[in-house]
Amino acid sequence: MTIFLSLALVLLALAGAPLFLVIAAAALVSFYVLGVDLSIVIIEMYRLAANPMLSALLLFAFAGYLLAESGASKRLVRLSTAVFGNMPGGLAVVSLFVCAGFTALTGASGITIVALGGILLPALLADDYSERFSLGLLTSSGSLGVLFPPSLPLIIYGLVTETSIPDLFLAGILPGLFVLFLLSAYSMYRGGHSRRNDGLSFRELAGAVREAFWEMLLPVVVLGGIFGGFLVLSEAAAITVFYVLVVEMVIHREIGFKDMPGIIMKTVVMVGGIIVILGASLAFNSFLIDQQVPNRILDVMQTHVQSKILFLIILNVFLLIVGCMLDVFSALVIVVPLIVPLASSYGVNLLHLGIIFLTNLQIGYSTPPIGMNLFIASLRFERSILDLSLAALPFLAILLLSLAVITFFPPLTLFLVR
Amino acid sequence: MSFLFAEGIRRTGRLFKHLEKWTLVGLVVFLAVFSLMQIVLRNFFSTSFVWGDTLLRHAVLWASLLGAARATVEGKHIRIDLLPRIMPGRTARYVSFVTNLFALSISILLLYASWNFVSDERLAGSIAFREVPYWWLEVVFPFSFAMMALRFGFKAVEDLVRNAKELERGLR
Repeated sequence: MTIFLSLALVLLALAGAPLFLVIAAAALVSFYVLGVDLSIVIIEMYRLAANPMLSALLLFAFAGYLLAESGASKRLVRLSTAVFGNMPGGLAVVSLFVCAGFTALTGASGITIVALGGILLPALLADDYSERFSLGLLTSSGSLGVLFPPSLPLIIYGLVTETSIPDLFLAGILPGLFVLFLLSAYSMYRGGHSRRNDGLSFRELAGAVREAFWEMLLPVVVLGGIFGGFLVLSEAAAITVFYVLVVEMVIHREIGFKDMPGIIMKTVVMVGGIIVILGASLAFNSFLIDQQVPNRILDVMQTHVQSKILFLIILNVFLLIVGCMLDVFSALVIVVPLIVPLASSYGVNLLHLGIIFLTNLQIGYSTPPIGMNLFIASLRFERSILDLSLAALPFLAILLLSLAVITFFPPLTLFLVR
Repeated sequence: MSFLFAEGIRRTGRLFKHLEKWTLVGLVVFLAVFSLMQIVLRNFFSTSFVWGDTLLRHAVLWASLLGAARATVEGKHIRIDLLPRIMPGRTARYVSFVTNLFALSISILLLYASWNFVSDERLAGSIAFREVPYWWLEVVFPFSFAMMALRFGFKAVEDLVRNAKELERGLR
């Protein structure tokens, strides 16, 4: 009976039923079978409202959509071109850095490819990069910034595991830079032929800096506020919104009052979608914990897997599979609560676990058959998913390499935190 | 007569969507402004509204749940939808009918559960702040799930109507 029901739910999920309702259904049925009043599901969901971090999620997402709607992406491209444009493979490196920066600011929700793909693809092609290289680069860059603050997946991981979100922000910085570094090295190797050789123009650099100055200050405002100890996370989020509003509405005048309702609606629809999944998973997970499912998985694992290294390898393979089945938000809220007790029993630091998680899920974004980047890129660039998957392969290989380093070399993650 | 009825539903729907949009916009603006005000009050005047945090957290809950109800009508819920991508149009719509029917029934169950929840809270009668009891802040649960149920119901009917129309065209 349980197997039949589970199978039916999986089938419904694959058929396109909203995930939060699939999870809610699992929770409702489970509690019904236990004979518990169904209002328990709502009580568990309502625990969300006790969490002060929730407003940070909504406000950071709002700031992200504001930036996405403004011309910030163009200014970022100009600035990075001025800095990196004259290196071998410069434009490819520009694309990587801009995508990462933009994803971090807008919170890995697929906007990056939509907002930047249209600017960067023609530029890369004009600069003599092969189409395949350019498409692969842009497809796999769509989720590149998830390790940088204030990315929404980092905040959600913190919410679910109750780890300190500012610590997570710190933990993500070096691994994120490392991934960028490896990808840049590969791009410079592949793109060595295309060198513009206009020489570094200081006038262009100064112009680009002047133009993007206020957006460049944004990380300082966010991180300085949090790590300087002036602001808690939700306050930093409110300040970020205010700052972005002033920059884009008053200084650059690219967003007007008439654009506000549209931007706000996009924000609440996305955040609402994430939060109901979060709520439904809270309910279902409380059932699993009540039934001691995490403990049982733990027992099974401990009898078969003794070493931490083997555990980490299994974890990575498992997460890669999860990452190409589910989007990052659902994967986080469903899988994290089950993995956390396991990881602690093998002595894996929770911050380290979070970074491993997100690196895996980030890779899953560009992995066939259901990586979200592939779908978005396929819509944006009008290419088949198969073509894009093939183009993304070399980049996936590099991402996997960096995943291995991040997993088996914890100091990379934990160095800044201590 | 039936035409008037349908037109009535359509108008009510449009009006409601408008109302919904401005409520959400108002909520988010309130959230941003009120958060900022709390920061200013706390840091420069060493004071703040004691009930401010409770109010803020519930405003986020309202924005999220109403946002999720809106995501239903815009078809923007997070989903996997592997199967519909590889199926021909008409079969995909039958599958979509089944998933919408499933979504409708789960929304109704959630509506039932949240109705019980709010009724219990009302009986308990605990106060969130000032004269505002908790259950006032919690009615957003049954309301949002009711909206979702309605909207998934409409979508299911839509799927059927579209397929029926196509069949009719095919027969003629």
